[in-house]
Amino acid sequence: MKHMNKFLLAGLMSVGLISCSKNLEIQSETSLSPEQLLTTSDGVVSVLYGGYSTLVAGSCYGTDFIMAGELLAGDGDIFWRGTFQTYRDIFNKQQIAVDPTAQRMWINSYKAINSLNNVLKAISVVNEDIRDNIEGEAKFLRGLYYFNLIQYFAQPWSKSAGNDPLGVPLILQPVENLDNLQVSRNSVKEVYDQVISDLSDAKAKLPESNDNGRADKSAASAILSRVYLQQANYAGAAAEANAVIEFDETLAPSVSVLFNNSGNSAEDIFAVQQNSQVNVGSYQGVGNGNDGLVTFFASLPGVGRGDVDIQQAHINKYSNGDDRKALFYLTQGNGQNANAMRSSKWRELYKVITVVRRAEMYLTRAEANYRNSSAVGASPLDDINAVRTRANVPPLANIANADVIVNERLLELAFEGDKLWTLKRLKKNIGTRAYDDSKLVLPIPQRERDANPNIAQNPTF
Amino acid sequence: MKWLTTLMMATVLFTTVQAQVQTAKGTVTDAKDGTPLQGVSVKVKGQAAGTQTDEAGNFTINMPPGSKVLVFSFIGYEIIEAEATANMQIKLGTQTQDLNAVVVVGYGTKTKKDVTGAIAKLNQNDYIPAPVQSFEQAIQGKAAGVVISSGSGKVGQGIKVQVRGSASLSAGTQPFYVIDGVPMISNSQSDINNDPTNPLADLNPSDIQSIEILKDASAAAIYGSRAANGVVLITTKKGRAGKTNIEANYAVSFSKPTKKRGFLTGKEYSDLLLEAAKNDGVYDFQNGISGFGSEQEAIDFFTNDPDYGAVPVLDYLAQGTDWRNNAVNTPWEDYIYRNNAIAHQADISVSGGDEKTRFYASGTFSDQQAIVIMNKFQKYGGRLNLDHTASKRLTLGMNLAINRSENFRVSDDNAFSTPGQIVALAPIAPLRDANGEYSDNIPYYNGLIQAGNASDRQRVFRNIGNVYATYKLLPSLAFRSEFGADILNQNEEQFQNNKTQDGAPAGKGQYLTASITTFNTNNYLTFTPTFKGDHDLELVGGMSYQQINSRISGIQGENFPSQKLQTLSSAGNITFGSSSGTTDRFLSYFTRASYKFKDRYLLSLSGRIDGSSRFGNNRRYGFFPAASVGWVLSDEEFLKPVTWVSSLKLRAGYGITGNAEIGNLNYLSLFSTTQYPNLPGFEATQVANPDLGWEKTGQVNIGLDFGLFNNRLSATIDWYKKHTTDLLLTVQIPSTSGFTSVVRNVGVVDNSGVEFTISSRNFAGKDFQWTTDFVAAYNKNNVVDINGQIIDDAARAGRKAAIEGNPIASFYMPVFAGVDPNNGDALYLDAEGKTTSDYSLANRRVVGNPNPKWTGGLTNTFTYKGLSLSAFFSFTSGNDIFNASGVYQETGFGNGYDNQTRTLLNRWQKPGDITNVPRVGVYYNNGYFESTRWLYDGSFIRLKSLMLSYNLPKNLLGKANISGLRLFVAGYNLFTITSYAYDPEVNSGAGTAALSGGIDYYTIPTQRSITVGLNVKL
Repeated sequence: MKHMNKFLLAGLMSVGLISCSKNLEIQSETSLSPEQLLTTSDGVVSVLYGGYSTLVAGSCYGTDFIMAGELLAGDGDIFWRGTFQTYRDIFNKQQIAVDPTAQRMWINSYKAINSLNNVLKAISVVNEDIRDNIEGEAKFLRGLYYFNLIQYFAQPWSKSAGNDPLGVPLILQPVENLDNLQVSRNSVKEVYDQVISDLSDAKAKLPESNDNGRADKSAASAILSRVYLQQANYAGAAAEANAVIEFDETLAPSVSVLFNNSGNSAEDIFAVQQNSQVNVGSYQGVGNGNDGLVTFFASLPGVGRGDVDIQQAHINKYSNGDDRKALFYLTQGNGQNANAMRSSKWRELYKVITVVRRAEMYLTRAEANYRNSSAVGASPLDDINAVRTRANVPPLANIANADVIVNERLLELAFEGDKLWTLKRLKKNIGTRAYDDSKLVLPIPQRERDANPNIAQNPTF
Repeated sequence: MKWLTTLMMATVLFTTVQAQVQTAKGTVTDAKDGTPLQGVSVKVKGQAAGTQTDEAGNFTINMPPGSKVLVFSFIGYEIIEAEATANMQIKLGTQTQDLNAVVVVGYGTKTKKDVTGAIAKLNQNDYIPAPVQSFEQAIQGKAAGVVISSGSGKVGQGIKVQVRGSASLSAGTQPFYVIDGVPMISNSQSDINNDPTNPLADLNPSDIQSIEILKDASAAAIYGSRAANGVVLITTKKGRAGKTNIEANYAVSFSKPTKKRGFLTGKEYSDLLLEAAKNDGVYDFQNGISGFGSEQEAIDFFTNDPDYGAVPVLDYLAQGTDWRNNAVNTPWEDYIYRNNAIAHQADISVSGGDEKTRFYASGTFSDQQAIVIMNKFQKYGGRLNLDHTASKRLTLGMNLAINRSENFRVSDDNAFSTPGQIVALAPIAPLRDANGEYSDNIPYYNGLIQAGNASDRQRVFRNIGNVYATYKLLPSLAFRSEFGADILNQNEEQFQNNKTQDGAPAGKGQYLTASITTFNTNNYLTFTPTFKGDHDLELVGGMSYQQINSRISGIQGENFPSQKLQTLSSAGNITFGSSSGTTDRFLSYFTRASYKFKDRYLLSLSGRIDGSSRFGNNRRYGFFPAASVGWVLSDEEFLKPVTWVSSLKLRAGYGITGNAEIGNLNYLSLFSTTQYPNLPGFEATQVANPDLGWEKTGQVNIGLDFGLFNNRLSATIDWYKKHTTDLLLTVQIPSTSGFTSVVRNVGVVDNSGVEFTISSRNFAGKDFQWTTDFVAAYNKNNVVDINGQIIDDAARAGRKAAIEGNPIASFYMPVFAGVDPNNGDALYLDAEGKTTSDYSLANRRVVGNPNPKWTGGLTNTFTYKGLSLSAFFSFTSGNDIFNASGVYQETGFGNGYDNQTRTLLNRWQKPGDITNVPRVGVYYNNGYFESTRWLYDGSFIRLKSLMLSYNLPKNLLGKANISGLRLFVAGYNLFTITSYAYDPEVNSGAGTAALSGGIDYYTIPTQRSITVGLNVKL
């Protein structure tokens, strides 16, 4: 009898084994392995697209790359009235080491950088006819992410001419296992050098023009002009801005058509694309209903929270008749201050977010030429007047000093994420704070320092 | 096996010959009401031969030579052994404390006397009489060491159940639920943007015969890798041969919130805001911030400036009414709640059958309003359980339940649109504007607009069932095969029209589906050889295979041409669409040997091998053994003379259980898809860990069961220590790698504690009885090693962390050190322990624990004839609650123009004021940061239920052919003693994750109810 039992049991178990043990291997229905992906040209290109997708996140251009700077530099122009504590803290320059905005900016930038490093490592797999373009795009994006990181998480170039050890870590190889992750911060100069190297390579390899939303030569030049401007390399800035304008000098016919477009405007050089499925600020998808520039800036029926009030002091800076003044509107929807004015630059969901546009190139070329006493491409006066005329402001007869160009820049590019970097590179005070105040940079996320003691914190955090 | 045979022989030889009855006769009745029981199995002990009682409960059985003991068993009743006589009067009882009660264990049953592990057994008699959606709400506080936390006063929400503390950080912490042998889907399938919901609500609590909670490893290890968080075995009711029983229940409840917070009136609010403006002016001037010429100039600025001033804000919030003359005082908090939430609950069951076929059929209906507006839960369903005896060898049967529930939901606690947040609205704002619509943006979205303009319905269609067959290969060897399925189909349909905040300007809709199917088969042999004499042995061995397939999808659209058409076919623009799926598989082999010598020396060994698709090849299979022993001292000769000891048993066991409750494919390197207009792509989202394996919990348990004074006082005491190693831990890694974390097996968490279950029949007269039941449990949780990390609670509003040397989910935040009497600044402790008003210098510290040290309950029941009064108190001690909404509602406008609680009446106003409420201020306020200012001792004692019931006398009912009629009225949460400012039983988001719990964030309090009901038996 006992034998029979054993036999039955053994039989039963073996039936189970045969039928089931193979079933314990399962495949993901939403992911692929590196072996499946990085061995084909299409696969590598799709990882490049992954690097683009991060741009639209709230942690990048969706919100923070633009708005965090505007809040830090907000004094006199805007007032943060929203309930989000992180933005309130940043606006009040009371951000703390666990600040979630700083944390997500850091994490998502490095996530994208890792994707781009994967692309660059596997670039030889990409079909030859597009290989240069793909490499150029990957380097453009990597340079762009590092440029944002170094600006937000380190003191400006203007403070130390790069001789500041507290830059950000440079990761240039994909991470494939858990070894050697305890990196340290590179110096500001090392990061700037890498950004310039990436953007220069990108400029060389990118096509002259590309699909909507994808990087081309002008995009690389435009970001390079910003980098050079930060370094007070006015010749470089003028040359890059000039290269952009030489290729295409178009300014949009009026300021009213610059924003809230479904595709790039005539003037956009590089812009983040959104649509109703992929966007920051809708209830689901990439972000959520509580994120996005439109959500925070707008107050229209059914759109926006009205968290950023534009102060009257800012509006008073525009002369009457300035089309840019007409871009402001009184609160029409949500918001704790019904008397507050709002900016029309961010008023419609699902629209393109401009990263860099041609008017900036005119202003950069004007300022760089002015400070360098040169006239690469055009005279500073012609450039500033090109921008003024388009906004229906009377042209200037002469430029009294560099601040005239800077002030024009602050008006033209208001709330587009330029102000903080302009004031810092020129060592101008922000409110009552000096340009290099320790609270005008973001803290290294506490979680990063918990996971990696080699990362030094910024002073006072 | 040879020694066994020898033993058997010896036993036979030493069996003494004594006088025996040839034929045993008698009657079996229900110990409770004396009614005859039909279909009771009557067997000669140690023999297969047997019979069943007839309609009158009578039986006759021939006694084979050498036999003298009969065994009476009946499903749902205790098993009784009695010496055969010619006139036996057997009373079968259902009392759980009885040593002869039947206890369901994994893949079998045992009598309580033979149990060597720690198992809590509950049944319908233990239910709290209250409007509940799921059975575990009804047994809250009833089982020692099982902590059940209802999340809020919302209905159908997820409920956190912890058996002997939390052992896991990143993997699941909820017990493994098994219903009639089928693993049950118990994880929330809710829209992830809302609170978790509770799939256990699809079970009709009235269908449950018994709930066994396997607490220690020796009891649970037969469920191996699924068992580390405890196992809850649910057994549904079975029919019995004989009279057809019909039972009907109906109850109606009326509920209100247990507690309201209390907010400022319109006048208090406007006065406070003007005071804040004045404070800001004084502060600005005295600190020379903006360079005002005089203090008055500064005050005027903060009072009247169109951008910064308080008066323009008040003018706006008042919406054209005259706030200066207190024209409006809207009590927003009152509008959160229904005037009177009504819940109906009805069920009916029919059971019976004959010796060949037995059945239990039931139907249920309930319609329960939550105390909070808009929220209600409706359910109907039915069950059919069939058992058929095909032959002496073959029995087979099926259990099948179908259920449909619909939850009318409100937004989660973090949304402006949730009713709980309307307390933030300004009391000077009128309820309705000039057009008769609810006022909006005052200063926030008005959640009342949702009512009538938004809907969120979660509908669940649920089939849980199994078929089984038991075939007796030999009298002592049975093969049982079970095949079961739990099929959950859910859709969640949401619409917000153009009047709502999220639905503007043209409506927004969403449709989410989840289809989860669990198939499970158990195949096992049970070998129960019979030995004459002192040996009892049971061997169980078999295999189990489970496959869980999950398909989810979601679609979202907006731009509806008419707000009357609310399905997505009318959406002008589809904004989101997604579908995905995943499959899990578990393959297991298990065995258990239970040996009993002389009816008093017990030994149980079990083992299980589990293979899971969740792990990599290197560590796919895990082995989970357990061993336990028991010693029934009261059967020893030396204790026989001690008559006041009725029963005494010692138990000890050790075993290893596992946890695999993590997502799939965590061991692989993966790239996941990304979305970008026209550029569909991939990004690296996971880095490989091929060594990922089971999380293991070793648990030792020592228990003592005793009954004294003829079992008038009985108790169970257990001591345990759980040592969890190889924690499935989401380890933070430097995010410069492109990844933020990996799942690894690192870390150690310990839990240890004691549990007491004491039952006393204080007074047991003929007409009057008084019984007391007391359960209490102490658990100490300690994170021993998590790789030196501090793991923060990722959830919203949580300020908790796991830190080595502290309990899991410890509150971790700066310490509030009071208010500076000179200027009203909030003070915090810095790293050196000195006070500072600069929050950025305040360091985070471990300041509290959301998990109670002590939990338990006390029930006193008084019965006089048909009248019964029962009071159940539940309590917790040693836990803390953080009111995360405090940063908005108790800061005096530092964080917005929210209305403030009445706490603010005690604020600092002038130098020298000694208070704990800092200076109010809109711009210069440092009191709004999270700190221990809002951390409270969450201990409570609560009169959970008080029930008065009346069983109508039999002589009255007999004429109407009714065998029982019971009426009751019960109160729920009638009063509470706590030092927490609001309702202590809150858990915002009803989170079930390890780091959840103890957070109040605009959370709807639990309800206080009055329930009236009746129970009829035909």
